[in-house]
Amino acid sequence: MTRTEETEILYQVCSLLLQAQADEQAFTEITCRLCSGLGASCCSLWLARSGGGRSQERLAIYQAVKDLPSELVNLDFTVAKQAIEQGQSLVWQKLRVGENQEMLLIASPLLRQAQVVGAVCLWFAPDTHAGNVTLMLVHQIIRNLAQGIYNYTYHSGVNGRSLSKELEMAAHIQTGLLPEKIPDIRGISLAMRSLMAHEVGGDYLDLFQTPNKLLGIAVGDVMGKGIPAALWMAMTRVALRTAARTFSQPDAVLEEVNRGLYPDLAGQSIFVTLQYALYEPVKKILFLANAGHLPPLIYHGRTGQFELLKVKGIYIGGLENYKFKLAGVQLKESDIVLFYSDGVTEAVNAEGQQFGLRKVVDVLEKNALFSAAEIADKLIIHLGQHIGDTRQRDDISFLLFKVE
Amino acid sequence: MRAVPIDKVRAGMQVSRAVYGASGETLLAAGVTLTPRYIQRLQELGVLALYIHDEEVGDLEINDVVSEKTRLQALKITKEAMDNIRLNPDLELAKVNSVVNDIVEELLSNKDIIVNLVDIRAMNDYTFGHSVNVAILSLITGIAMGYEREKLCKLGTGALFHDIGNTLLPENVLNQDRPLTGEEENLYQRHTVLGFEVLRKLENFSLSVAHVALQHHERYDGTGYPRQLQKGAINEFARIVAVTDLYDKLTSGWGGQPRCLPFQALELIIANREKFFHPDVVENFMNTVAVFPIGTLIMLNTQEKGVVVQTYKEYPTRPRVRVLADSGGKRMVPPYELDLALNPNCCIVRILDEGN
Ligand SMILES: [Fe+2]
Repeated sequence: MTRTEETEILYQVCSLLLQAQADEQAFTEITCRLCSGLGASCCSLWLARSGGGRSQERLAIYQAVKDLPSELVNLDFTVAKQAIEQGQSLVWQKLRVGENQEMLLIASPLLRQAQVVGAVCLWFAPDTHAGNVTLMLVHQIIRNLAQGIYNYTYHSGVNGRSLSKELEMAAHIQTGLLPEKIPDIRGISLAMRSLMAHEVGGDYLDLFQTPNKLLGIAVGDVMGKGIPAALWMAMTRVALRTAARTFSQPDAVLEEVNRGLYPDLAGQSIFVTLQYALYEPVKKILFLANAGHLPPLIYHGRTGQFELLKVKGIYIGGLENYKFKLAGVQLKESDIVLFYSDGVTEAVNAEGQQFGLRKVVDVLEKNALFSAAEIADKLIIHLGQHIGDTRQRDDISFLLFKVE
Repeated sequence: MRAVPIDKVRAGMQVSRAVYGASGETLLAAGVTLTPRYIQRLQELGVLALYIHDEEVGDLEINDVVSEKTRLQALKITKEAMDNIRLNPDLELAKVNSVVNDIVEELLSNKDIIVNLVDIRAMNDYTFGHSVNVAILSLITGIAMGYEREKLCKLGTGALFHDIGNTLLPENVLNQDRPLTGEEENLYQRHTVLGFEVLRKLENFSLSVAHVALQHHERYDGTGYPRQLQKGAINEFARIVAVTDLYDKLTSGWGGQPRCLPFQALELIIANREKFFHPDVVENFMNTVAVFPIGTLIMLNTQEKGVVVQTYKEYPTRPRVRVLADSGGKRMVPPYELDLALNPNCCIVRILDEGN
């Protein structure tokens, strides 16, 4: 490829992107141009989404060659996912596609100010030689694509979400707040799910292993939405994690968090409800302290009975030097413990009816023989069936574990 | 291809899987384009749903747990046996044994058996289709419980004839789509005893197999009929058939009830463990049917729409999904597939109506 040809493609692509609002058609056009310009067989463009877990959406795909193996589109999803998750380019000289075909693949994340905004995948015939020139060219194009995709999300508001810069930042803080890894605790299965209704919600879930090998579970809610809520959540999380390293009793941990945050919270009209539980896997005991949050639900799999583990306590920032109470409960095999935000019980359907606690208990009862992950998936589906086409008003998040 | 309930089927749609009658005769061949007349006839025959060709969804590979040939053979033999039982109580046991054997062998040669087929049988032939289904579901459960071949064959035969007493009841008790009156209910409950009486008199017929007919309506907590047996006192084959019988009735819309989705039927059964059902049976049964069978239209948490194309025994709520439309509802061309088992951040949030 000559220098002029290169500039030609780059020019074409960029001019499309520089249209103030690149739309879906423009993206299809881009993938088409990239194929013809670079001699690729197939090209796809992906958008990375933030909020509600990392996921991706395909903006466009173009197949320049007919009769490409049908597995290619599925592989395309997988490599785009890898590029987005790892934030690094992947080059396969010979990637097996279908029964007996190999292809050259370049998958690259689209980075804008060190943030992954999407990915581009380019598929070439097996005999193509991806020389340095092509790679460099792909690189340059990618830089421009990233800006284009950013413009697209910024202006068009994918899913009807308008992502202002500030909100995007806050959403980033929030997704960074979910625990990266679910700790492996003996004798229980564990799952957490969240469906975000807004760019940034006030729900907060955290779990970790404490220095003395217990499972720490923190759930909270910041009253008030938007950026301050996200920032307060971040601060609460740090305060709690720090306190949980020093203090072992949940009541003492909440007292420490309150001590730290009270001076800043008291002046503002912001409330933080927070609940901190510790699970001791050998004796199967759950300890709990509560700062104005919803009580966890315990479903006893053996008897089919359920109870709410109510512990009184004022929200964080409510009273200086408040003494929190400590409660404990002995769990048995096949018990299920659910920590949830009000978005779960208050999820509203088209008729304005709330999902309610009774239905939550029903779902647990009807799925009690499954493990935590399946129960969590089922609860999400029952909530989804209930909400239907109505707009989800509040964040829905919960965490549950089952003593196996 | 997707399953469409009969009331949502329209003329011009193309059938992608054949529809069979009770004796295994083809009512409608695959590939036929529906006309108003066909639809009316299918409704009269009580067909519940059809597999319809759908370009957007694309082809789906649904492997039945037993071959079509064996299933039809079982249907035919069950019908013959039940039709003849009044006139000639000598059941052709050799034929029955051979088809039960075939089913057992096919199931045992399958590694990961999971039932994925949406029920499309005709309601008028309900008893026979139901019997075969219950036999297959019971056998898969039996395999999960570690039964050997000999025990499986007994279980299969018992399941196949669990409702044989129904053939001795007056028509009007059986074909009601309203709740039965007290008197009718008493009469209906007699099918257990009647069935047992017929079966136990047969030569070479194991008594424990006949007990399936007698005890399949007994409940774990002792609230069943006819003898209010409890827990371990209930015949072990009958315990299994109690579960599979109800599951099949729920998912096929028995007695004029609205059809349950497989996941709803499964939840009902799990919720009734230790009430109606033996917990061990429920635990083994729940992994034998797909929670979201192939062809189920779903919405993901990303607001994308898709169809289930593959199910996994180990991850019942996390099938492989073909994404058909993006979050804005725009059609995905070509669609790509993703495994929810490998994408923990994705999950199903809704089951979409089969008719949409
Ligand atoms: Fe029955």
